[in-house]
Amino acid sequence: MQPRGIYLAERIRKELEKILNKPIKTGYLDTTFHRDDFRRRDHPLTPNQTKVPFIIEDKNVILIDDVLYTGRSVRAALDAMTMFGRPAKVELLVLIDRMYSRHIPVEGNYVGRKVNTLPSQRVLVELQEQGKKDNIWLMNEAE
Amino acid sequence: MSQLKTKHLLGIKNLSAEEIQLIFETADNFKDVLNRPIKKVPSLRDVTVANVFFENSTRTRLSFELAEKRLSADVINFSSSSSSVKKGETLLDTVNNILAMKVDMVVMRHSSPGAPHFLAKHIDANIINAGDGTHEHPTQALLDTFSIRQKTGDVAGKKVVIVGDILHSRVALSNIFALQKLGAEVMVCGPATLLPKHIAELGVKVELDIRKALEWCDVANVLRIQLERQKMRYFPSLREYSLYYGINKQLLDSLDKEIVIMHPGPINRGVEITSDVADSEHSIILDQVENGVAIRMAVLYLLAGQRE
Repeated sequence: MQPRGIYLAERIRKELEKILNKPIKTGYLDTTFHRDDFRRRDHPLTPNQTKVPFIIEDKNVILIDDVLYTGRSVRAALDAMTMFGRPAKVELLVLIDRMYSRHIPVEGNYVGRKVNTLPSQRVLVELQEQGKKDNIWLMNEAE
Repeated sequence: MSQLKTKHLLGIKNLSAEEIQLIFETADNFKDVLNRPIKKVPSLRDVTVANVFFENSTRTRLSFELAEKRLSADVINFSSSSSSVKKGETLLDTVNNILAMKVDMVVMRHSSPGAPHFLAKHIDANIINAGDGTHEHPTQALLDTFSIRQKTGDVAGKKVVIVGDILHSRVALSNIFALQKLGAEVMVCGPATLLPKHIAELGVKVELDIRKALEWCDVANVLRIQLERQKMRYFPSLREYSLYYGINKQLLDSLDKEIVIMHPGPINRGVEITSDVADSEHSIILDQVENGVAIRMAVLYLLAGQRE
């Protein structure tokens, strides 16, 4: 999932291909046009590229994102995925799960770390692929 | 930058280069959507758009309607020829009645310059100008410059000549603004009777000789000769216009370079442009039409998204 999930997806693909010794398809999914908060925020979100160069009909899919918070992005992603076919099965992998903050019934199948956070805080994931160091920050609003 | 500063798209004149780039980048994403098997996204599903056309149109109205439907908006169409405007209803009353049906956005074409600006002062909905008289046609200029960017990589630094009836053309004025904001050099070329008197004050070059204009430019945007104005005697005859300003294959072949040919449609084949040029590989006329839908989706998306 754009914007940061795509880097995690590429890393995980490389590792999985080493272990399983078979190619695994990856695509980039942008959920901007499928979000349910359009016209409810001050300004429209800037979309990123969607690149799914294959049909996901009858495939087992793992959605990958950096942070799972309200779950609404995942709902939008499930919606966006239907544009490319009907998957056999979808699972969710996230690096960080912000516990007790879900707005809809979505849970990760594979979770890097569960964190208990306040709504006023922000979780920021920075990755090498963005030209930064691998870092995960828990930030208070004031910072 | 992630949003437009304006609530309406009335013209290119008041847009900044950054806003135009934002529209282009958003349109890039919608072009991706339009190339998928399922060419539809749900973004505008709770938005109602009225296409209000007080003047005839094929391309623009179809293009807007398709863009709205691809974004899942509800669409109503209105054309003045079959409406109560004939019974003497004013513009403001007509539009207020449409808005009373809970319409969020109005796409309007009108024969009077400034009609959408007038409307924007008096009503609450987002207004998109789809052509106001001889004034502006902003989405056409956006799709024209977007097509130049797609064909040549960048608009900045390009030399673009606009050929034909500059005097009556809203496409010409919007194109001049858009091209200049994006850093292109602009020339207008046509018979002196069809060039506005003080056009050079906009910072454009003026040329009466089509061959010199084509030798100078990278891109030629050829405007339609408006046959309906022919009786007003701006030039002696169509044949004479075609002879002096028509773009044909011999003329292009005699240049020692290749130029990109554009036309906003509808084409008068054999008058301002011959068929072998319009259908050649140098022509991006059909790309312009294709890009029109993506550009209009981007404008609708960016304007609709601002609202609370």
